[in-house]
Amino acid sequence: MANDSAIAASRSGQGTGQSLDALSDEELVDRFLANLSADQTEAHRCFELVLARYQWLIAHIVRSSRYRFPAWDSAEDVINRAIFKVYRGLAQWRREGKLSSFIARIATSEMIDTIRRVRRDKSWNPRMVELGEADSDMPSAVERAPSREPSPEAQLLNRQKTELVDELLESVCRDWKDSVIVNDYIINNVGAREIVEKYEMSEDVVYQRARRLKVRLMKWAAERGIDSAQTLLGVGIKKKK
Amino acid sequence: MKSEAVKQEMFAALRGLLQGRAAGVNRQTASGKLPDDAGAHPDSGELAAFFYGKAKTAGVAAHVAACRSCADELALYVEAERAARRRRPTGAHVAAEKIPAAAWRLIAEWEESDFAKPKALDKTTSREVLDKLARLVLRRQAANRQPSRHAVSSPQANRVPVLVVNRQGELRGVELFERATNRRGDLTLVHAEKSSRFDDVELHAVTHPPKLGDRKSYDIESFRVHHGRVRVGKRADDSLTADDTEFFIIEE
Repeated sequence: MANDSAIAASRSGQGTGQSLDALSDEELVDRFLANLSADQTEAHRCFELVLARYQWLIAHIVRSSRYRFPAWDSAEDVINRAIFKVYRGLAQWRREGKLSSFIARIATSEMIDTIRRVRRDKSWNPRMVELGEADSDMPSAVERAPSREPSPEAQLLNRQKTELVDELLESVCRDWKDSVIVNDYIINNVGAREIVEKYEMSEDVVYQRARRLKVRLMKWAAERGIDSAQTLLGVGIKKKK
Repeated sequence: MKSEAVKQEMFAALRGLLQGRAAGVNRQTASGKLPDDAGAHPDSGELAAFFYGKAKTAGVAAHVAACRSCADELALYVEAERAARRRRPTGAHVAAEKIPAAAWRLIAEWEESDFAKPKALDKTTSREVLDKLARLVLRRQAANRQPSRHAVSSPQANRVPVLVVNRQGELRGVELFERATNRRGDLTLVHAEKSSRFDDVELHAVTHPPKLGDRKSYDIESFRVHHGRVRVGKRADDSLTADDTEFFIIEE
């Protein structure tokens, strides 16, 4: 809801940059929204102040990313689009969290969309550059590997296995932390410390969740009558009771 | 009681299964066989909703557990949240870089486009436009009419297709609504997907008054959708439940 006293102060000519500065994020956004149709100049002033508070955040998110942006879609372009999307999206801010978090989410989503769009252009590889790694545009071994299409029977078996594994993953992963621990710790043998750094979890949480995930994985198998590695690997998977 | 060795072997096999799945996903992503727009990867909105815990997303959870690129992208939200916590706004004016002119251009283009303008309330839609669209809808439905569309025995008998058209009469899509009766006995149409897309939009019903017996004559009644529901009210002659009542929504 708009802050009536702030609006009144502004309309009476008493409103200055200083009075806007004194508004909280919520009040500032309310004022921005209230003036979008009625007084665009005022709305733009409010938006400028929102960005004065958070443009650094958008720039930081985009520029500190290790993804490479091509010349035709630079970090500056991404920042501009993110700013536009903040402008457009402020009406959707539900005040459930901080405005900084809301803006961070928009900027990150814009960055991800850009990375994916650029990736679809096969002439550009926006893969992350590891610190110290030589920046190479050469295709990786995976990309160079020749395609070997399996037989229809093998494809069917693969599909069944895929569905089984997807069911398993849906069953054991309760939230994003579970998913990334399965991915990094269980599947890819990434060390706990690296996970802590990347996903901002404590080491205790990583180990605890990894233990719980292991229990859930085993329980999933037991519920399906899979009592040995041989059974699991296809000798005879019993139907879930 | 399974021995520890058996359990270890079992876990190793499970892990192998997961690794195989992940390898497949990552290989397909790298080779472009699992493009982002194929719906295989969650879009950034779904990924964000998953990270912020705003949506029940078992499928997304399973995918992120196997997909390297999506897990890396999710880590970007972690990093963004970390950055967002780093500095809190103060009341004092903070000298900061100006909003780039290019950003203002994007904003201006959007403000000048139709998308930025609030949709005109349907009650201001002229009768002329409604008539034109009603005739188009009737012609289209007559051309597509299938006798069993509203057959009582059909499981879809309770479903009502509503055409979504723009003001030029171009078909934008067909939305399914379900007939229901509320406690007061009023006939209500409920959007089958419970979407809020048409909230506060008018739904128009084109009916053929039976007394006239002339298929070229029709009435148009308009009702407003609220929270995916539209009450079309009690009708003594039940004309709004007749199989040949056509419904449409105008959406630009």
